[in-house]
Amino acid sequence: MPWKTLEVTFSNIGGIRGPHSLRFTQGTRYLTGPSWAGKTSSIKAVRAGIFGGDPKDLKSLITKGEDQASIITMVEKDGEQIKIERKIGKIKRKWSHLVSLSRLVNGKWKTELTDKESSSADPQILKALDIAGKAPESLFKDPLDPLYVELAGLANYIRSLSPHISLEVVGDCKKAVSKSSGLVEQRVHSLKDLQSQEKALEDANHLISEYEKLLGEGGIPTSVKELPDLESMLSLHEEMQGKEKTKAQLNQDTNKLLSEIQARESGVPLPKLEELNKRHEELVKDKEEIAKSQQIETERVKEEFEAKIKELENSCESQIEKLEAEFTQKIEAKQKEISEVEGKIEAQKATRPLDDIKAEKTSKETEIKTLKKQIGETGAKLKDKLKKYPTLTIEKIVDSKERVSGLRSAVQTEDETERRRQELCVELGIDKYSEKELKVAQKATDWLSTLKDVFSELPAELDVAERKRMVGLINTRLKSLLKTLGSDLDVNVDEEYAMEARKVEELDLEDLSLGERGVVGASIDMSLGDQPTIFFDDAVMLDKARCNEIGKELSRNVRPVVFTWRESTPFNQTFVLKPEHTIKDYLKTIVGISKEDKTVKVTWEGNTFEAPENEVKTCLSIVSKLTEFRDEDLLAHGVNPNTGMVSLGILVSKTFVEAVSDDGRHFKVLKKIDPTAILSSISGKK
Amino acid sequence: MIQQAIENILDRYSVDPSDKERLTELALKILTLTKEDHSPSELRDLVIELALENARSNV
Repeated sequence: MPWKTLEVTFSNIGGIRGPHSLRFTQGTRYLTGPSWAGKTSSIKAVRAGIFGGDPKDLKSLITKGEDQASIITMVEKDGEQIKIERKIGKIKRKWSHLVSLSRLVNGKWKTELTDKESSSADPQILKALDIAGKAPESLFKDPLDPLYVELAGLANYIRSLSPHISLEVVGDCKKAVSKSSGLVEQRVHSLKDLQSQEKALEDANHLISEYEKLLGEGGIPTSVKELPDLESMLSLHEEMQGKEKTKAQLNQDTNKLLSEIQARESGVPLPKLEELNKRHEELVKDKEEIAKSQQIETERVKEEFEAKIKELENSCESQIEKLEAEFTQKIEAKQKEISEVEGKIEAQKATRPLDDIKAEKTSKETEIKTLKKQIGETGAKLKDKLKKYPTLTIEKIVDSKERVSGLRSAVQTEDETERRRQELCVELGIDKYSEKELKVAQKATDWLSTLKDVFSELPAELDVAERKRMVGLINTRLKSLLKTLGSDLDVNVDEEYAMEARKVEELDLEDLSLGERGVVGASIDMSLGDQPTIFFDDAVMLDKARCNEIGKELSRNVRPVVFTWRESTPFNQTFVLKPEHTIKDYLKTIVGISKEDKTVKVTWEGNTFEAPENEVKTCLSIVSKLTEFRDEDLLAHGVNPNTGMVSLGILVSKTFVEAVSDDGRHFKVLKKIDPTAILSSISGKK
Repeated sequence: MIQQAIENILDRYSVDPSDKERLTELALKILTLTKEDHSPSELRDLVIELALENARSNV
C-alpha cells in the first residue's frame, strides 16, 4: 500500500536541455539556480511524471526549440520498484504523449506497457499505484491534507498582500469584465444587424413577388442583369409629367397676357401723370392754407371773447368746438381727395408698359416650344426603354409606384443579404434571429456595464490597517498550524517582505496564463506518495534560516521538503573599475560573445550560455520595444531562458541596457536597439 | 469585506433590489473565477457565459 517517489529523470523540460535527475530523500532540500534555470519546470515535471496532464500544459513544458521531452519516474510501492516513462512531443511528425510502465521483478525489469497513448495508459498507471480516480490534491488524506489546504490558503493571503492589490484579483476582473462587456455589446450589435438583415430579406422577397406580378407572364427576364430599370422609367415618366405641367402653366400665363394686351389696346387711355401730380400739389397747398386760417380765426375769436370771458365763459368753448369740428371736416374732405389722387398715381405707376407685356408673351411662347421638344425627347427615351418589355406599360409602373422604389436593389442584393444573414447566425451560434436572444444580450450588457463600474470602484490598494490585520492573521494561522505539528517555531511573515512583492500586474496578462503569474512569497506544490514531498516554489519571501526551520519541521525525518531559490543573475556583478577603464571596456573584457553555425554563445565569468541566432534576434526585437524591463518579462514573452541570458549578455556588454537594481534583474534600455545590426556585429571568433 | 464593498457600490448606483442580489452574486462568482487557473481568454468566455446565463434567467 505505501508508496513514494524515489527519483525523477527528465530531459528537455523548461530551461533544462538534456537529461537531469532529482532524487528524493528525506529532509530539507534546495533547488537553486538563476532565473530560468528550470527550477519550477522540475517541479512541474515531477507531477506530470505520475499524472500526465493536460496536453496544452505538457506542450508548454518542452524546452523551446526542442521537439521532444521525456520524464522517467521511479516509484517504490509495497517494496517493489515501478518505472513510468513518458515521451511528450512530436513523434513521427505527430503530436503524441506515449507512456511505458515496467516493474522490477527479481532484479529484472518486466515491461507492462510500451509506448501506449496516454489517454488509455494513464488509467492503468493510476491503477498500478492504487490511486485511480483521485486528483493530486485529494490524495493527501493523512494529517498533511489540512496542512496543504492551510498552506495553499496562506499563500493566497500573502499573494493578496501585494501593495497594489488587495485584490490582485480585482485587477484581473476589471480586465476580464471590461473585455467581456465589449464582446457582449458586439453581440447586441450583431443581433440587431441580423434582425435588419432578416427584415431586409423579408422585404426583398415581398418586393420580388410584387416585381414578378408587375412584369406579368412572359415579360420576366431570366437574369438579374436583364431586369428592366423601372426606377429610371418611372423617373422619365415623372420628368415628362413635370414638363407638361410647366407647359400648361405657361400657356395659361400667355393667355392672360394676351387678353390684357387686347384690353389695353382697345380701352380708354389713362390720364397723364403730370396733370395728376400738379392737382395733388394744389390740393396739399389748399389744405395747408385752410389749416393756417383756422389758427388765425381761433386766435381772433379767443382774443375777442377773452374780454367777455366772465359773461361768455360757457358759450366760448362751444363756439370753439364748433369751429374745430367745422375745420376738421374740411381737412378730412381734402385728405380724402388727396388719397384718391395718390391712389390713382400709384395705379398709374404700377401699370407696366404694353411693350413689356408683349415681350414677356413672346418669351413664354418660346419656352413652351422648347418644352414641347423636350417632352417629345423624354417620351421617346421612355418608349425605347419600354420597347424591350412587351407586357410592361407605364401605367402598370405608375400603379406600382410605391413598390417600385427600392425594388431593383432588393432583387440585386438578395444574395448578399442572405450571405450576411448566415454569417451572423454562425457568429452568434443561433439558427435565426430571436427577440429573446437580443433581450438577453441587452440585459447582459447592462449587467456587465454595471459590474464594470462596480469593479472599477473597488479599492486598488489595501489600506495600511487592513494590511496589518491580514499579516497578523497570517502569522496567527501559521503559528497555530505549526503548533498542531508539535512545533513552537516562530515563522513570522514579515510585513516588509509582503510589501516588496512583485507587482505582477505590470506584466501584460495577455501573454501570461493566470497559472503562471508570479507568486508572492512561495507557491506550494506536492509531489506524490504516502509521504509526499512538499515543494515551496520560489521562496523569495523566506530567508534560508527560516526555510531550514520550516523544512525540518515539515519533513519530520520522513519526507522531503524542497525549496526553490533564485540565485542572482550574472548581471549584479560589482564592477571594479581601474582608473584606465571605462565601464564599456570592463564589460568587454569579462563577456565573451561568439557566433558559430547560427548559434550565439555568451561566456560570463565561467558560465556559458548559447542560443540559436534567430531566437536571439526575436528576443532583441522584444527588448527593442521596451524602455524598461525585468528578466522575467522576457520569460513572459515566451523567450527561452538560455536565449534570454545570451541576449542580456550581448545587450549589457554593448551597453544597450544597464541594470537598475542591485539584484541585477531589472534593466533600463539606454539606446535604440537594432537586432540585425547587433547580430551582424558579432564576429565568428571569440 | 469585498461583498460589503460591492453592495455599497451597487447601492450608490441605486440598482433595483432584485438585481442587486444577482449582481453581487455575479461579481463574487467572477472574483472567485480568477482565483482558479484560467487563461485570460478563458476567463473572458466564462464571464460572458455567466452574464448571459444570469440575464437569461432574468429575462
